[in-house]
Amino acid sequence: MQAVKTIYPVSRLADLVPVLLWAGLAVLLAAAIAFSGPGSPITGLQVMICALTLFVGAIVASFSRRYMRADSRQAPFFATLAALLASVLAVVLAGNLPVLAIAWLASGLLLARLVGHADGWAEAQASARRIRRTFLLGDGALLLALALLGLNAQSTDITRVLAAVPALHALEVTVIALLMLVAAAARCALPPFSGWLLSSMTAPTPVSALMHAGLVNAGGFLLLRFAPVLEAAPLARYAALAIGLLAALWGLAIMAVRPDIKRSLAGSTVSQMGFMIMSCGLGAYTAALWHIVAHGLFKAWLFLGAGSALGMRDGRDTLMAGSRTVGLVAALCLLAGSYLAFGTGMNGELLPLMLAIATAAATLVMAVARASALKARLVLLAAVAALLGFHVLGYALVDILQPGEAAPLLPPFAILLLLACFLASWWWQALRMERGNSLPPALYVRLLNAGALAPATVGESR
Amino acid sequence: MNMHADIALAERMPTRTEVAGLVGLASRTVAPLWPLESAIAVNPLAGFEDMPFARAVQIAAQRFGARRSLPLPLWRAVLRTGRIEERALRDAAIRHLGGSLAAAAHIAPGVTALDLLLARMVQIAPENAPEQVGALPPDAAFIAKWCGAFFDHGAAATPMPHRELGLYRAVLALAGHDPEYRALAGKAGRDLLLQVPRDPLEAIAEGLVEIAGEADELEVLSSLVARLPGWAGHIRWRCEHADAELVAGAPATMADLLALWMLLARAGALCEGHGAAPLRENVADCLAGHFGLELDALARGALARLQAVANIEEDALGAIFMAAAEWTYANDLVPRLQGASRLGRQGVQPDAQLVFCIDVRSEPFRRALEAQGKFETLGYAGFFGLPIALHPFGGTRRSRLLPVLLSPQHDVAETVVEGREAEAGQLAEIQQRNAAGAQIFTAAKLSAGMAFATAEATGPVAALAMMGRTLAPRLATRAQSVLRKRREQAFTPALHGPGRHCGFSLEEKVGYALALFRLTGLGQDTARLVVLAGHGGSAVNNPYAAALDCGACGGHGGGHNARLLAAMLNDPAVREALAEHDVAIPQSTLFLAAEHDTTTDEVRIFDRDLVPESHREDLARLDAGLARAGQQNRVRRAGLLGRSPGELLAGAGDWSEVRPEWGLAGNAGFIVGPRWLSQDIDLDGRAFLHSYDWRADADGTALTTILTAPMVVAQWINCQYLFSTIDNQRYGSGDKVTQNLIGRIGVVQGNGGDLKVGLPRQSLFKDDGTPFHVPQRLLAIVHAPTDRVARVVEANDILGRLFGNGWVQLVVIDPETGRASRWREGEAVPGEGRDQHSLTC
Repeated sequence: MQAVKTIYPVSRLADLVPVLLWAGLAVLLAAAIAFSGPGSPITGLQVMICALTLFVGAIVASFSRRYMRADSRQAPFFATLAALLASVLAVVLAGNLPVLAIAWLASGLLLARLVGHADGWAEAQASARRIRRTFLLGDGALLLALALLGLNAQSTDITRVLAAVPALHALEVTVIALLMLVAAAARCALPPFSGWLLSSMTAPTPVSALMHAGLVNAGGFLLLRFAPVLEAAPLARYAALAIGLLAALWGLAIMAVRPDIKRSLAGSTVSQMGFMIMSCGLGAYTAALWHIVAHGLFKAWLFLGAGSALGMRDGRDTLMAGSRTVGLVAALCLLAGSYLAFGTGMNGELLPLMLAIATAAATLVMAVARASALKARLVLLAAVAALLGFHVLGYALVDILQPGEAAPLLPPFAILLLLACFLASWWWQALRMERGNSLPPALYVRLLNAGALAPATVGESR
Repeated sequence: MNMHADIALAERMPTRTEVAGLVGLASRTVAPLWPLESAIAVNPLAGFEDMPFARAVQIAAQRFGARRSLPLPLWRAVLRTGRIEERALRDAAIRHLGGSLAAAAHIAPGVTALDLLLARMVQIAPENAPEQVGALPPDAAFIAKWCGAFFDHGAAATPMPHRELGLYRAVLALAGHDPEYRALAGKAGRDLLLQVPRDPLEAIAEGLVEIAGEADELEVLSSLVARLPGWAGHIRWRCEHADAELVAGAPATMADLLALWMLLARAGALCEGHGAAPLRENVADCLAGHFGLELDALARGALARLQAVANIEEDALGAIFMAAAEWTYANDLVPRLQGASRLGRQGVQPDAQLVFCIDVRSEPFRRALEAQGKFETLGYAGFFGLPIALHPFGGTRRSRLLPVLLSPQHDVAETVVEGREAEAGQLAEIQQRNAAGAQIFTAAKLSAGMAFATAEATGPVAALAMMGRTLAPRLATRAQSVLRKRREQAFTPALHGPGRHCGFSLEEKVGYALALFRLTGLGQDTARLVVLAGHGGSAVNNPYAAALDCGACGGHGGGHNARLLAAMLNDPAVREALAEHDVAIPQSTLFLAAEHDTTTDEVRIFDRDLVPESHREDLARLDAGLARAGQQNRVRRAGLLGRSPGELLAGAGDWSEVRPEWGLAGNAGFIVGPRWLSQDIDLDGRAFLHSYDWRADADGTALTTILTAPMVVAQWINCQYLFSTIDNQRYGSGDKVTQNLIGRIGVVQGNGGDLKVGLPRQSLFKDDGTPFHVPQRLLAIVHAPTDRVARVVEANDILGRLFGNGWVQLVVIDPETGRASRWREGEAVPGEGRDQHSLTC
């Protein structure tokens, strides 16, 4: 066969990058075990986020070896991917403010570059521009916050900076905390910053997986890393709670109206990030960190498998648990929640705990109702039990690695009200589904349009 | 509006019937687009087949804003691979210039017009920049968005409100709330929402009066249909090919879509269509520079000739390349087939006969198998002539296992194999449990009370699943294939349908059995084993998986059809009746069904435990032959894919594999004749092979069927590959890595837009970006007396159209004279008495 002059250069990075990442993960885990215990140079938070980043990065890079095999710009793709992961690791491991700031800025720009990877495609370039614009705002807020913190402590070392937080004036610390919340919300794609994530489907699938599993968590990491700042500013915690709650419910609604798989998953990410930031606001740090890790894995898996969502189906009516089941489960959860909140003084972690119990209960009811044979029921029950076990184990592991809980923010009744918010939305969903009702038109249209790119100017078409 | 104007309006307004007629005609601008779960290859230019090929390509290119040919650099890459001969390219260039005389015209000392043209084609750097893909204009984006929301088939948990009203009225009800509509249509648009008729046809009628003006109404409507060919094609599928229960609850016709366009048009919200001719630098200067000529110094005639060559559009240069590719293929193949025809049949009684699908992927496997022993192979349409729809056990809807040209005549139920009740019960339980589990998971992801804990609980399992699928992809595949095998052993398509599914009468069975013999020329002296082998592909996490399955079975695996026909042929009553039709099958013959996995080259034989002791040895020999043939073909195919055979097997189950096999890429020929004609020729997996014995078909009935059904399907496939290659953005579905599944039926690119038609880039182009598929028209070669072929072509309009307009090129090899003659485009009859030289232009 005659040698063919290639048009696209095939890159060796495709083989190299996955190997490096798997090796990096192994080194990290070995180091974490070797240096565990008090006096460890890195915190449990850092280990967990690094491990997540390296794991998802390694999976995504391995996936891309075949997936991106016919890409016209393979070398830049893998190089940018590697640089992006390196910048995220630098953010997580940074011990001083300038490194953190530079790595943070770099990760945003590199992400935009990957979303705009298709360089001849107007829409991809528009998505990338939008990311850069949004991040400019968030990153500006972060730089300002870090500068104020550094000035206050007269140091760039993060440990010292955090130690100096109590010396800050209440107003100062509130401003700094709110600036950090803006930075976090921009990265986590919480409203009003959701647009960049909801319109980022021009990214190659593996990039989306990495973005939804890794990059969006940066906001949560930031709040956890600078938890003392947040704790010193109750107003910022209330703000985090409010914006998180809004995002959690709004994102779910977006997810439900989208006919396409990737943007539906993006709606889900907005929602999950909202829940996580809300947990940060409540002071349930363990819950927030576990959510970051588990959701990252969950979402990467769904994105990488997004090629399977084919096959027409009907019968939406049977999709959700019936409103009666939901109502019953919700009522019981509120009851149990009241006991825990008033009786045991459980606070921030009450919400994730009760929702987990509600989920398990509803799943069991559905499993019993939908599988007719005894054996099938048992298998499904076993599966639910196993999942629950994983959940509890993961939560416990995080709790050991990164203990910590802020002082309660809300009084017991307010926590219950928050729980009731989720349960009531759920019940409304189930009721609507049962009656075959859609949403009010105005709301539906708003959800469908959420995050749409500004329309192209006329004549841009080829 | 005053009364006077009302009357004037009423006079000019077309009636509903007229509008319906116009809409029907306009909808033919696009081809129907099947959901990807049963992907069917269609010619995106099907609506233009009544025009000559070149003209159709040109007009469609304007309409869809598409390219007319591959860009020159890619054609040059094809040239370098040797799939275009330099001599054929030269011949094609000479013909383009108008003959040898014009080609030899003097430009300057030692430089002819032909030199100039060839230089432009293969040497001078083309002027066009790398491909740019623009964003969808806002008007089209608006309609595409609502089409996406409306046609969701259960993808969205919260469906669009008012879907039951139909597409047009549902959008009317919502557009008032849509800021994008306000931005697009302004106040006029808002008023229109209240004024326009609710009936789409009336709305179109009013709209035409208002906006068409002097323009041709059909032209206006057709160009609007062409703005979003994907969604329009989906509507055609819904209206013409979908089972009613699939589309119930959300009625939509082309009139709905056009009424929406009319709404935007009346609001003055239409954007300019595709425009922007590519930049043209001064080609004449480049040409002159290339040959070291001074333009001013040239004689006037020479200068004019040079300008003429410089003015040839790049797309026209591409057309010359395509002609050269077609000639290269024909010049190589036809003489060899002619030679084989003169030699005649040489063969021995085979141990086993295997009937494969005509699919181009069967050919290399058949050749490999024939080399393993005394195996004879035949080619027949992969649905084995059975127009059936299958109701899978435990499923809710039927699959149509037949070519889309036909409609199902039999509803076949999948039933439990006798003696396998326990196994079947177990499998049904697993199936139901998995379905319930998936349903619960979907619900949990969406519920406000469950979504967060679901993500957390699933996370660790997801990590394990990702590790497994990434690091050990074959593990999951193996488990799956075991389950599939168990399923195939426990369930079988039933000949005698219980309840609502009717079975087959004896006459029908005999008819289908007889068709196998009549169409393929399979003689009644059958071998001890006759295997009917359907085919399907293997791919996971791949929206285009069904495009690798059997097109003749409506984008499904062909195993079910094979099992049914084999059961019919083993039925003693059927054999008895066949004998009365002069087909006396020997007692010793056993029919078996199988499915050829075109991705892994494994062949699964069904119902093995029904094989009697007497045939076990034959089966063992066949098994060994199949295994060796599979291995040989895998090595060959792995080479084409640029990977090792092991990697090829891994790719079949790898969730990140974007090209598990080459599918039908490379298809170029359709050979109708006995296998011995092509047996000694390496057809390189590029030809559809339909068996045919001209001696057994004196009246041409079989030939008519072959040319009007399987060949037409082959032409659709050929045109899908051809057009998807030359403009992958417009006629194909673009890059797989940025595709986004929508509505559980298809893909869009990125954030939304038009539903994509055709094939993705990865199915057509190699990793290095050069085309693997050479865009060229199908060459049909028929081994039959010339006058018989002429009769058949004349009697069938569709053939006259396809051959006469050059969509398919026809060559007839006359078995009696050994002559080959070519059906010239635009001619009524094949060129009489032309010898083989007429073939090579």
